[in-house]
Amino acid sequence: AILQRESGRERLKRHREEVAGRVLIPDTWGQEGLLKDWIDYSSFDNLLAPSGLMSARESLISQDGR
Amino acid sequence: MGIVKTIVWFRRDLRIEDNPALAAAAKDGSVFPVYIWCPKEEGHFYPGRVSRWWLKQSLAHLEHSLKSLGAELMLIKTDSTLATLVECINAVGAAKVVFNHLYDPVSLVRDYNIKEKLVELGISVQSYNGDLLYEPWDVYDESGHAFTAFEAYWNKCLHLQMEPVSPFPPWKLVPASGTVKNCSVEELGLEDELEKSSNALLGRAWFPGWSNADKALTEFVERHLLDYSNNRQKVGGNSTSLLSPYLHYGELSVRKVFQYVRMKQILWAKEGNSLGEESINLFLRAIGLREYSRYLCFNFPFTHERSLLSNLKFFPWNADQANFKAWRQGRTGYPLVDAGMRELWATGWIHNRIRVVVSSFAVKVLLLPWRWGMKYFWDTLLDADLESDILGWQYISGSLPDGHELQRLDSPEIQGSKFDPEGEYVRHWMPELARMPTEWIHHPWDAPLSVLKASGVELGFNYPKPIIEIDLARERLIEAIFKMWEMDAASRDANSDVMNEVVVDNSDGTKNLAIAKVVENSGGTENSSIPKVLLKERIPCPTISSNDQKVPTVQNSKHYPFYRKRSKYMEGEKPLPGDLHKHNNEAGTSRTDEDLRSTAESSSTKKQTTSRNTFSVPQLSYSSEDNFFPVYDSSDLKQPWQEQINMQQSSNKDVTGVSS
Repeated sequence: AILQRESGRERLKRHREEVAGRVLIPDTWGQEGLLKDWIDYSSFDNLLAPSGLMSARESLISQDGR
Repeated sequence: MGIVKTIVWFRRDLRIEDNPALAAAAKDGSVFPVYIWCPKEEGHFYPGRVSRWWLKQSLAHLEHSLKSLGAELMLIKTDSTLATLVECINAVGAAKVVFNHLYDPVSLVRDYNIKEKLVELGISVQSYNGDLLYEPWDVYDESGHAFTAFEAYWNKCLHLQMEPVSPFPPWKLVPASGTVKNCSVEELGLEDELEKSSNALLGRAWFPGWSNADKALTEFVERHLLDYSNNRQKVGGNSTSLLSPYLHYGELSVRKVFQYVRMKQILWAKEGNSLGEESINLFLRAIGLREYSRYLCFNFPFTHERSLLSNLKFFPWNADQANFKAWRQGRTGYPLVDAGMRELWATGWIHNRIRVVVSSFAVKVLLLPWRWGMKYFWDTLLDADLESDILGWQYISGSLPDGHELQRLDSPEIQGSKFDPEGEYVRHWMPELARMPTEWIHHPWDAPLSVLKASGVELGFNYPKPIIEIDLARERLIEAIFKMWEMDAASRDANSDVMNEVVVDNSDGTKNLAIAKVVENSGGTENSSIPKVLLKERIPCPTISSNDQKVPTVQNSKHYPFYRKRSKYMEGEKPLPGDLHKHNNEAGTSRTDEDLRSTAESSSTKKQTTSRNTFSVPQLSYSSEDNFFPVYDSSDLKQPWQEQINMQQSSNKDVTGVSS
């Protein structure tokens, strides 16, 4: 019975109870100005398909096989 | 003990235990642990607010632990990761750099470039698997191809041998001395001043850090795992493991999770505890989905020709910022969706099923560009994880053979009655609906005026009317899909010279490894055609690791004469009614979707006839279940499409997401 710290689950549960009903999601998110850019595919696609990706994959595979 | 000085580069492996890079370095000699924060290199995937908050706490935790072991963690903010690593090497006189693998496209390329440069400088570099049960190239089917559906993938995994966990972390680290310009956790700038008040909420709900991860795991396995099978469907409360943020930052070794749970499985099997065994199977599946997210991203990487969610390339989005704001703020008028968005903001975490509900709502009901939703998730989820998030968005948008069809539109009202039958979840997060009787809680717009009055709900005033009626939304979704097909076909006509070919991607000059890019030639929802990826050409013994033959090769059209066969088959298909027929004529003659056909086991498949299996190709074992393209199923031709869509509402196979 010595100061047993609250477990993560209990803490989340308590937090949920405390904040429920008092949650105010702010009017602005802060990234509204970027929404228009994100309709366009190219900026995302360049990031998800960076050049050199295939070499990087191959290298990782062959290194593992060494 | 050797005398090698090694730089241990920490990234998303913020733990001591079962950390292969750290263990290897400690065994070799002295260590110089660093964490390098380079916002410039993060680009679009700069971690969101809550993710950075978690990282900050977790780094402080790791710093403390390493100090206890004898070595100080250098925290460095920089404009160039490479330059900083070189600086560390010079300061210490290190001969070696070690780190654990990451598999997302951004990290893959960065790590590869850094490795090349360091090797040029005469530095030895070694990387390890610290994040997965199985490397993405070690799991393949009988013909050596990468799996394209989860069930088959996971069944295979469960029969493979796994690297065992090294049970003990290093007892003591010998520090390599050297002076670099480091900073405090606070000075890394992971948390803006403006963010602190929002983040204070999170600090009351979560304990980041590897030792807390250990506690969370133990508590879950000892006290909640047994009931996982019963509880995991409950969207409110603590029904799942809550381990996803820890796993994202590598604060918990997934191998350790697996071994711990496996031991329980053996124990419960011996006791004949069938509930326990069922729970374990389901929990391990959730772990498997995380593995699968890495697997898909790695083996079917996005290329310029095949971008993320490319099946939606021509989708006519409704880029309405007011709708987006209503979705973000939980003011859509659909209680289950609104409750989910509020929980997300307040806690940084929501149940996987709620993720499916709110993301489907954004894409299919509001027709919002899915990137908007993805970016918002990225910013608000504690466990924001590129591969898992990608898997999730693919799953709901018809991009996976075993996911939801694009045209499937679940009514939040029906979902509410299924997953929150008593309305407790909604009442918890939506005080304005707290007095609403259960009967109406998920569709207050249908409630009689007297009930609304008695509950203190005034639609349009203290709770919004539905942002769009679901039937209208369904019509618009179908219109949008038809529009998408038309645009898609038009674009293909314009590029008809590349049709009916399988193009091999040699743009990187890597002849051995490529994605056989099946030209997007299929009609309808399936132009996300998953190509074939050969991982092992010859397999001497399918389950034992033998790396000597590990040369992936490209499959090209010569090996797949059945493409043509399929085309003929399609031509001989019964005529399709109306627009579908037209569409089929435009685009359906060169479908190459065999990979997609291999697996789907979703709901409406049981009616599938066996006739299509006649066209099975020997090296693939199709299951007889195939509903990924329901509009083409012969059985569907007998009913209007609308009916088909309605039937799909009953499906409840939500498997994605990694919020186990």
